[in-house]
Amino acid sequence: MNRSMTHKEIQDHEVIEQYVRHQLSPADRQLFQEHYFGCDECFEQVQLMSRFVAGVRDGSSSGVFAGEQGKSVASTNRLRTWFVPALAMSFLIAAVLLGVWVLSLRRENQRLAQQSSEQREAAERLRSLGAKIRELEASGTESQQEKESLRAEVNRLKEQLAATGQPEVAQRRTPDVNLPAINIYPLGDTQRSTGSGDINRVNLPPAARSFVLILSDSGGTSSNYRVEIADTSGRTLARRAGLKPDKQGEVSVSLDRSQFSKGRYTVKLFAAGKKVSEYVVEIE
Amino acid sequence: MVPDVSFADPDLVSNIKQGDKQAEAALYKKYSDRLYFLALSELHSREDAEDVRAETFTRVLIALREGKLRKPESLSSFMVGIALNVIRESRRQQIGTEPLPDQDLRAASDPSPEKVFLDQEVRQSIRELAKHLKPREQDFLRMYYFEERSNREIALVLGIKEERLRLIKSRTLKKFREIIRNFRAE
Repeated sequence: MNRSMTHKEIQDHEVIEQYVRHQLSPADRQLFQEHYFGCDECFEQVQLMSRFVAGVRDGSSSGVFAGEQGKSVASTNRLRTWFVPALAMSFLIAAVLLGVWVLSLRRENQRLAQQSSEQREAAERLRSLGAKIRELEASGTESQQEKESLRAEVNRLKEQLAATGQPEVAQRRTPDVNLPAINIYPLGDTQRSTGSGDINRVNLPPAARSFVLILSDSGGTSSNYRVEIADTSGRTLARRAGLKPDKQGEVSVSLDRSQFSKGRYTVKLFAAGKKVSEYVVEIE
Repeated sequence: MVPDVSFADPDLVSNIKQGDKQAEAALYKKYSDRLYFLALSELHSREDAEDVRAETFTRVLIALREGKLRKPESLSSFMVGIALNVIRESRRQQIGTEPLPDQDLRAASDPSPEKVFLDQEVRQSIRELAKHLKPREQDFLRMYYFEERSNREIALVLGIKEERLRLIKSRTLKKFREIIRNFRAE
């Protein structure tokens, strides 16, 4: 403010109101007082403003100026006192819950990764067991104890895979351990597993994916045999070599069911290049 | 009989120096209300304001008679200065402490200093004014003058622009002036 106030300055800066509400500095207050001592208009206005402000304050305290907010100001203030802290708290809780969720997702991912690794190991083990079983059965050297041990381990692996939610995999990768094993006898032999005459009748379970033919009474004394299986037209459907006889001198051969539909087949046993015996099998 | 004198300040100073009693009366007539209002707005007491007015005029007249005012055109400033000195002395006597700085001249201990400007005419005018105001305008007056909130806060609460608040203020003051003039006319 200048050394003396002008009328325009007073109007522009709302000096009168500031004076009445004691918002001027002491120096400005005195300047304005000196001004209205010589200005009739400003003196009238400052008197009016003083009465006006006094009246409004008195009316406000007595409820004359209730307005729309008069009743809700208190509630608005109450709202402010709890709303902002409540909003901040809700954000904090949301952040905490988000963090917990992220942590749980990470743990789940780790668990799934570990589970997947265990499944791969189990499946690999099943594959190797299956190969071993087939090898042993083909060689005919497996013992009953060894069979049961392998079977137990396969069942355990199957259960493990099934528990991890991959029963199909367990199903697919499990070797057909309890596969049908049928003794067959050569032409001219009086004993038969089933049926009569020289024909060995084989009745396979529908679910069997493979089966074993145990060539009994072959009459051979070799330690190394070869088997050829042909259909009625003479077409060779399966060959197996390097077959070892068991203690009873019997040779076992494992066959894939899908290769042998219902019908008659000829099984020839060779040793050192010579036919030792011949079998006829009727798959029913 | 006191003539209707409307001398300019330099003329009043000159005449009072020469012992003109009419000039002294004219001086009192010219500045009495202003001095009283000044004292009232500082001390918030009618009795104290009366005392200050009387004391101030005494000192001013003595000074003018003795020709102590070198710049007659500064008469109003001279009178305000003397009045403020008298007010400080008055407060010093009331409180009985060291001289207060200028900022503490107002009666801070008085919880409702503006009541000195409140009379039946004002109360009736205010009630009449409230009838002519919209609820939102009433809210503004209460929040601005009674709760002493800022323009920004009031605009936020009422959901209106700050520029509009100034219009509401001037309109309500204008209406109050009309009402109180009508009361006086009656």
